[in-house]
Amino acid sequence: MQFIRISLMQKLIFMFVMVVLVPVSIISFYSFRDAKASLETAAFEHLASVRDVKRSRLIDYIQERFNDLALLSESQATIDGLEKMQHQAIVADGNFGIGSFEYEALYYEINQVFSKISHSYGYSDLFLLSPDNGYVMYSVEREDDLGEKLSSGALKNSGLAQVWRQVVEKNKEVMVDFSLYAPSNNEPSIFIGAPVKKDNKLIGVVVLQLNIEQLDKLMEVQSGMGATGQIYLVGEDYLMRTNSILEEEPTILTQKVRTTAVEEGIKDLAGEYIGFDYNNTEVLSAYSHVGLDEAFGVDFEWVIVAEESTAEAFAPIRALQKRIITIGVGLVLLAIVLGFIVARSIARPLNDLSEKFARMADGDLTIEVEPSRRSDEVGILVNSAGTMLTTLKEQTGAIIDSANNLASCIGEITATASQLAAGASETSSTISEVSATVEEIRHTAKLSSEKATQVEHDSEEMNQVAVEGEESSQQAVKGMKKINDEMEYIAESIVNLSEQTQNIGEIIGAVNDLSDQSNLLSVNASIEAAKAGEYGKGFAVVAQEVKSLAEQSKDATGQIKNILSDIQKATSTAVMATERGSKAVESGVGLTENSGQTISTLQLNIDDASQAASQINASSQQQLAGMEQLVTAMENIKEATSQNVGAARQLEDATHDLSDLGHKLNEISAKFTI
Amino acid sequence: MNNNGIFDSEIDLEVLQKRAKELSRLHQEECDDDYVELVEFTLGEEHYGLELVHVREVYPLHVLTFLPGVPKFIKGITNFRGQIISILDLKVFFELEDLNLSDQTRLIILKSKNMEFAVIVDALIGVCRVPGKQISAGLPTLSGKRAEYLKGVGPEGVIVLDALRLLEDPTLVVDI
Repeated sequence: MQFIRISLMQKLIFMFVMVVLVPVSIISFYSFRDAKASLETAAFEHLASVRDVKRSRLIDYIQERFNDLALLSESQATIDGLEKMQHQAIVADGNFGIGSFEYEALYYEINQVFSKISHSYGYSDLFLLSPDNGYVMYSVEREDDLGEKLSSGALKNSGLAQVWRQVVEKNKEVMVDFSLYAPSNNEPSIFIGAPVKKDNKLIGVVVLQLNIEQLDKLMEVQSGMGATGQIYLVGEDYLMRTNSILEEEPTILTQKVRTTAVEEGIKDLAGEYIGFDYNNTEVLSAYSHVGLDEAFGVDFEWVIVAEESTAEAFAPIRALQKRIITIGVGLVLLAIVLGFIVARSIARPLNDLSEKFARMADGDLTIEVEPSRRSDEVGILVNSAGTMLTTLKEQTGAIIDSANNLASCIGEITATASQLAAGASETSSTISEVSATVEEIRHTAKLSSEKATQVEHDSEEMNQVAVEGEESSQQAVKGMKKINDEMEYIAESIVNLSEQTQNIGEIIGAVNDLSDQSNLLSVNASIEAAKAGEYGKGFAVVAQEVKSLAEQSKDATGQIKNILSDIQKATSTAVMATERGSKAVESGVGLTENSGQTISTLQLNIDDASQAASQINASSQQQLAGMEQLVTAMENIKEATSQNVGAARQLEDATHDLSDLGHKLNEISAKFTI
Repeated sequence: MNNNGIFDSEIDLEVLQKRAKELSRLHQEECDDDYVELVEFTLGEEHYGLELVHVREVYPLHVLTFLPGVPKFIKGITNFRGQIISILDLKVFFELEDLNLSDQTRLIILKSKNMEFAVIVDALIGVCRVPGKQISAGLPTLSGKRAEYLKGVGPEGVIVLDALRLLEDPTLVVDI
């Protein structure tokens, strides 16, 4: 997928640029890298060689000084001088009597030899020391140290004292490291000393104070190190042992240098690397230990360091880089200009043509393509496009005309087909309705035939039922009459019962009178008993009993009376009920007789209905047969019409398709404007 | 009394028996005095009583013969075991309502030395014993002639009539 549309011209220009840029970049990258590597290597080699040269020269220088010392210690002049001095010391009671006439005379005698030696070899000073106590017996420069006692005096810790001590101790040549020496204005001094022997007996020590300037000059840079190049010595205490040529102030024993180079050098290693110096400047550094220990057997060591700042050393590399970038940019600009010119000559006619083709694609055929005068491929392309456009115009016009004609024809056909289809489907639906109606009629006829058969059947059953009904009603009449007789008998019985109860009532009246009288009798008996006084008391009890009996019998008769009156009421009700019952039975008899007659009439009617149903059945059968034939005929018609409808539909569909085709053609041709 | 027995002394025994007799007699006398025997009956809705000692007999009313020219309280005469006696209608005499007779109507024959007659009552209840103390003096509601012949009112509202006074009342004697 392409999100940004890049024109042909842009592409061509881009290609040109790439063709220039890629090889230039690759060539510059590799050449720059190789150049840088070789330049670096050359710088390191140069430094290393300078370092080695300086180191060997330093060793040679010190070796020369030791040679001088050896010569001096073995010369007869030294031995004589020492002997004379010692003799003078004995004369002056251990003190040399410095300043005395005798000493000054001796000094003058010795000095003629030694001052010449000292000055001609360029030493700072020359000392003769006594082996015991280390008296400074002689000094060329006659500084404050003359006559001092090194074993215990103010100078007992000075470099001179150390030399004396070591020489006496080791009985051989000794060199001590730099130290500040007070008598020489506290300047850094370095001493070498040797024993002076006569007949294998130590008679004195000769010491040389080396000239620092000579050492510095030795370390001064030769040509080829640039402005920032320097070589210096560093002791094991990380303090410088030479004066830096880049610093204004003296740096011996004051400037501390604790760089990787020094650390490595102290460990007796040598090497080159890019790092930082004591001023935190980036430098190329070559270092090595000097090897004083191996060369002279001394107990200290120095590191020699050769440095040059990277800014100066790599300046040619930067210049090369700048030149490559300038040339590359120039080439790219040239490629852009050339690319633009070439691309325009190819892309412009193609661009015009593509715009015209885009309009053609939208259906616009009114455009004109001007013929090109160019004879290359672009020219041929433009001319051919013009020809093609003309042909296309003619063909499209013809198609549009045909499409219009086709559309009108199709319209007519479609209308006719639609009418035909509508007519056919109408006929079909009408036939469906008719056949549905026929089917219903047929169904109805069948149903009526069935019903008629059923009616016939039912009427026979009903006839039987009617005969049974008649018999039943006759039996019912008989039963009713029997019930009537029974009812009459019941009525008589009840009347009898009523009479009996009345008799009982009369009897009860008599009993009631009896109880009344016995009550009265009891009262009289009580009266008589009362009159009889004490004797009648027992009788009074009897009278009381009689009275209670009379009352009881009276209560009983009362109850019987109540019961009797209930019975009488019940019997009269029963009499009434039986009368009503017998009347109901009579009416029932009448009704039963009526129903018997009705059933007979019904029987006759049922017979008539049965005959009618038979006739209906026969006629419905005939109707059914006719309807069956009608149904078959309608089915045939229906099938024919449905085929008609199908055909009409197909016709309609076909015309629709045709119409769609015409429309599409119209649409397609409408896209073109001529 | 001594320590050897309860009834040792004959004198003591005698005294005790005597005392027991006295006590029993006293009680019996009290009892006799206490109770009054009454013949109880109804007049209308009210209950009355007559002292039994003055009653000769009670008798059902069988035949009543009206007498002309006598006061209204004389109901008539009747044959009582071959003896003709007059009948006093107490309801008329006491001016009470409801003068009808019923099948419960009875006669109570009262008798003294000089006089004998029957009173007609609505219903006879019976003989009863009433403690004499329970018969109170009288009632202010009973007015008229009844108050004159009233002896008292017994328990359960029985009005006790003075039978003796009725028997000896000269107003009742009809002299033609």
